[in-house]
Amino acid sequence: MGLSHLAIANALDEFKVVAVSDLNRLVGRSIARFTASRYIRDYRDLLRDPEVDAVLVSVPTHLHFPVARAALDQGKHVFLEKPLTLSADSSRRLAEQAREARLATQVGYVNRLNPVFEHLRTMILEGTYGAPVEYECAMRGNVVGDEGAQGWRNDHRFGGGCLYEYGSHCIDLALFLFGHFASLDSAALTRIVSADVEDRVSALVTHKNDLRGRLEVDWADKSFRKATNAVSILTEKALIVGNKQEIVVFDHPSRGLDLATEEAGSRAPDRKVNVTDLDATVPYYLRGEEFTRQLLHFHELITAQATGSVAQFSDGAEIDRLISEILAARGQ
Amino acid sequence: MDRAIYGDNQFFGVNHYSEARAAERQRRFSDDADIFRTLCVAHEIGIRTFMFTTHARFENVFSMMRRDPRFDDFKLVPCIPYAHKYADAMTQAGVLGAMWRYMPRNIASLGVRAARSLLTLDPAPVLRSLIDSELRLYRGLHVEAVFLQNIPVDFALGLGMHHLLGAFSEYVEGRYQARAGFITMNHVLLEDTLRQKLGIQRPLICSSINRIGFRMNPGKSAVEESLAKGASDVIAMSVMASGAVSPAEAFEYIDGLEGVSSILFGASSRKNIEDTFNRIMRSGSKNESLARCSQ
Repeated sequence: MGLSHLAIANALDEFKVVAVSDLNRLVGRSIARFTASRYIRDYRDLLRDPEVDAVLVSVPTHLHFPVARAALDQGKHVFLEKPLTLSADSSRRLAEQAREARLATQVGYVNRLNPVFEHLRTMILEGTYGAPVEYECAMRGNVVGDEGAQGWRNDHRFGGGCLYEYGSHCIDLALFLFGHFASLDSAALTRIVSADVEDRVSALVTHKNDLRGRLEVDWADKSFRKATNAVSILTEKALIVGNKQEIVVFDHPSRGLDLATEEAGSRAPDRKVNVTDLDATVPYYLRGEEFTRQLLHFHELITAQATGSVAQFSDGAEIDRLISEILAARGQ
Repeated sequence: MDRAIYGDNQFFGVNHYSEARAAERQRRFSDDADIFRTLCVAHEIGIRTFMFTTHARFENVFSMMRRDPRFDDFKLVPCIPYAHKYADAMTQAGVLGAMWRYMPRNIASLGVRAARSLLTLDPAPVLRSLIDSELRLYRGLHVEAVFLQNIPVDFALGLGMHHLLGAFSEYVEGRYQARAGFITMNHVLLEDTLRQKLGIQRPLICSSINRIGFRMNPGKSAVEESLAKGASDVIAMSVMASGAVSPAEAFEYIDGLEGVSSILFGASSRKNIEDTFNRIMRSGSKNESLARCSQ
């Protein structure tokens, strides 16, 4: 992710990338050679540099806490990749520090900047189809091959496992769309191909507004060419199914209609919104408009054109608390 | 290049508009023979150029093609590297890390190139090994152009490593006598970079061009202005914005644009391939390749 953010920040006029810090000297020096950035191996030296106003932090997750905390201590604005940290307590402390710091802070839950999910959230809040009754939020993909997770991905201490990698995005989407969590009602973690970490997660949650939801996460599903986030919402008046590209609405679902997309797919939707309906061009595109939009949003926070990030550290902390509850529920 | 270029998205369940449609296509083409049969249909209809990503699946398809003399006049346009093999590596380790990770089988030649890369901190020599590795499968077939995929292109643009694009261009044209092309989601930035920073007179670019401005970064009018300058050979892709624009409206828009030389399209049924091909060929282009395409 770091190189992705670097490419975007470097390409945008809004940012000037003055320095890059990475433990890999080869990568760091190559970047310094071809861009206008300096390579500073130790992040603490970079943080002391007065030319630096803000930092984009994409270090391994187990280092998120010390690096982000040090950056805030040095008065730098911080964009921090997700998940916030690997500990609910560290995340809580980091979120508190961010709140008190009067600096721009944002966590990399990029789906919040996807125009289709933004639109879906607006649809829910406006209540056009009545209040949500229950939902399923799923994230599926094929990150691990037949051999299972390798290296850091196979180690919880380094942020490995389906729950940290995919589950965090999935939980975040549910938080973004439906509001704060009240309780974790049950959870199941399943190993399929990986040796030491889970490949599937299933959880039942209740939100503060009493809405019940099911979270389904699977990073070993070979039928998915790439990572897919899908949300199915049963409301008082309709069934709404959304993903990164489109939202479809079926009015008055029949009793017993399965929330699964397969079932809904045999009937033509009553309404459809596609990403092509929403204007989403960006000054520079890499991997998806939302990656650029999240950095443009971070810039707006820094220049105080926006107050309060759409993806706050406190959101990151709430997600990490739920993750730790899921892990605790399964004795991990 | 031919005005009508047949693409491969339909074979691999790629549909940027609808994931459900993509899944259905993937099931339909699960057998290599199905892909080959569809290419035979395309050839019968008059298509002579096939632009595709270097997916390992095509190995069998191209073996069948080599054995079939009907395809002697068929032109291939491979797009390298195969996106999903490298995209994950790219996001984990970046352009540089991905190149270091995906080594071709010829260790000896790689050794020299890798050493030079390490000494100069320049991935260009390893890039050449990557190109050789990717194009191995197409020896003996007529490769008209080789495109670099949008992820490495746009990454190189963003990181300021445009010399990699220059290295790609020189190597493809020198070693393979094929035209070098670039796929991008940043049309204006790419064209400006290739022309002004690399001195490439008439770049070959493939980018998203459609009536609703979908994925036309930095914006629809900026791309249209760029096209009107007529400084590049442009292949338009996503002309129907993956289904959001009807064929009639899509081609009406393209016909009205200056600066589009070719149109990349996907279709899987005989009827759709034929209808789309005929519509493209009917469009008001004075491109001499129109004459070449007739049977």
